Amino acid sequence: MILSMTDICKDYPMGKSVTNVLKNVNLSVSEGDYIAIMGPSGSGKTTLMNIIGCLDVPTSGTYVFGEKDVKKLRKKQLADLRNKKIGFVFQSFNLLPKLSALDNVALPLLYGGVRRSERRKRAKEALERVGLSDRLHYRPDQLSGGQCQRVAIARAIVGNPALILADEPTGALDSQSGAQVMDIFHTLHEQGATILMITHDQNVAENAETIIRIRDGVLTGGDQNA
Amino acid sequence: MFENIGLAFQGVFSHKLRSFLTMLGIIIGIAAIITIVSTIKGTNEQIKKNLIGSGTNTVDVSLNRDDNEYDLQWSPLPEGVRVITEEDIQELQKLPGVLDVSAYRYRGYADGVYYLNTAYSGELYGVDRHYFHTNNYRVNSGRGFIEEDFTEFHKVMIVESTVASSLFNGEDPVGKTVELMGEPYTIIGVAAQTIVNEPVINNLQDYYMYAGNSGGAIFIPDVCWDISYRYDEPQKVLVRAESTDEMATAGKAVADALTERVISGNTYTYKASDLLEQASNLQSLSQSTNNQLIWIAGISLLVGGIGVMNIMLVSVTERTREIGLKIAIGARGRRILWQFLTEAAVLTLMGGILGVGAGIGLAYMLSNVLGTPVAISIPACVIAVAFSTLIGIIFGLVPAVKASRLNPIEALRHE
Repeated sequence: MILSMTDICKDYPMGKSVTNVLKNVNLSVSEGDYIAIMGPSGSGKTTLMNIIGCLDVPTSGTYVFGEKDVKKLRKKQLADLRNKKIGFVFQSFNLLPKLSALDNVALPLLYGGVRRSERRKRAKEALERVGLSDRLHYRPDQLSGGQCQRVAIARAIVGNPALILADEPTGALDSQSGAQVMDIFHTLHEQGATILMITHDQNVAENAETIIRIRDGVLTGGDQNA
Repeated sequence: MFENIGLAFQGVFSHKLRSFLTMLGIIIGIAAIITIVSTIKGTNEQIKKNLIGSGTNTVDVSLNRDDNEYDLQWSPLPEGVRVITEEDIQELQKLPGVLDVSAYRYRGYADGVYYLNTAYSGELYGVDRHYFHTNNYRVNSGRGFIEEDFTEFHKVMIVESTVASSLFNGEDPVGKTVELMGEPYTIIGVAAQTIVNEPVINNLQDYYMYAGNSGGAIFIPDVCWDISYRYDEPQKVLVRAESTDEMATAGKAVADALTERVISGNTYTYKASDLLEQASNLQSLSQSTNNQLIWIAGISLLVGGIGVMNIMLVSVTERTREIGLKIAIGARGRRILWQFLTEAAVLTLMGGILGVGAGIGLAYMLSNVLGTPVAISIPACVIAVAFSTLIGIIFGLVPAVKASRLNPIEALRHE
């Protein structure tokens, strides 16, 4: 078991009233899972993603990541948990424009306190895994959108995280680049990675083993893809 | 940490114009301070050099009444003070650090001295056997004082070379007769002080301070002083130390020993003039205006600091997404804080270095234009750079804390 959520609720105050964005969400992710969480915009999927990624805290309910109750972790420990256990892939890549691909990928290792030579070695390996070993020293503005997202995936996997968390990873890409990214996720999954992906696109979601739908803050069970 | 510094330098150089404009306040402030400090230090060193460094290492020891210098011209020897004798001098010479000691009487403007029908209006000294050696005089023509001049009360006179040219129209004064209080004195020699360092004179004030009396000086044996002026006058004492470093101790030792030997009662004391005190009195004149200037420079630094803060806040806003990403992938708040503090510190560090350079340049430029002396103080430069870096850290704190406390979710969504 990588994570389990029990009765997670998230409320946002909207002026005088309160919006319940998540209502009693229960979710568990085991090692090797490849899950897509699907829902229209405003369904609460981004909030769920933020809570899973330990960027946000639930209003109520229990969220256990690994063996740890996330609610009890301090800010510093949360940062370390995000650094070591979770790899983020964002819709808009979020690469640092002034750093080379290699340095971008090595960034989480820098925050994890890994030595410089080790950082470079592992970042190179990660870029090889996403097929960009010939682009190590290119800056993001010298790479295509698909290549940028592959650099971002390399950054997510460089620390061997327990969970890869992808938020609309193909949202900013053309269909061909999107398919490439999905291929990479597929390969990573076959190699044993645990992937949780958020999307509103049925075609993208169908790449996952399990699709969980979310609507108005409520999860509606999982369809198993073959 | 080193990555931060490297990245900070990259950041500064990637926005050259912006970085320079941000630094400008710091540069101006530091440059102003360095210019002022260099000029102050130069002036002070020159004052000290002028006062101490006439090269003779001499200290004046004079009679004081209740801490005020006793005016010994035209005054009788006060109650409880006796005349300093040759025996006293010989004892004083044995004190540590003392090369020679001389007791003398002195008139700033001699009265009753004539050559033919010309009145002399310079200084007059009644000196003992040691004066010329103590005050580093050299006899250029004729002869110096000899033992018999003192024991036989010879009415002889030695004149300074300036007197030789002013009173005698360039004729050789040796052998000429001069009237002093109605008595004839024979000039036996012409002497001049061997000066190692000429005082540097930049303005009229300096001229009055250091140039002394241009009328020159006339010397007679002190034994004849009583005869011509009819009464004992108190004496001044000149101490020549073995080295510049021993001037203060030698002067004080002689003054204390003199007080002990020749004075009874507590009203009068012999005191050595404190050259450093004199120097600091002179310095304090210029100090007050300089302090105001430093305050103004300080305001410039404050404004510069606020400029740095402003730009750092802009930088934090511009890089909100970057910060959000870093926090998301596990950078601790403290690391973000340090990143921005380092950037601000690097910015002001470079501003400080440029400011020191500009300040040194400006000080030398002023020196060329206005003739002010310059002395670069290495500690002042180091402190200035350190201080400007500190300004960066202080004024970078607010933006850095702001950055480190960003909410990553909102930061990532920031456009």
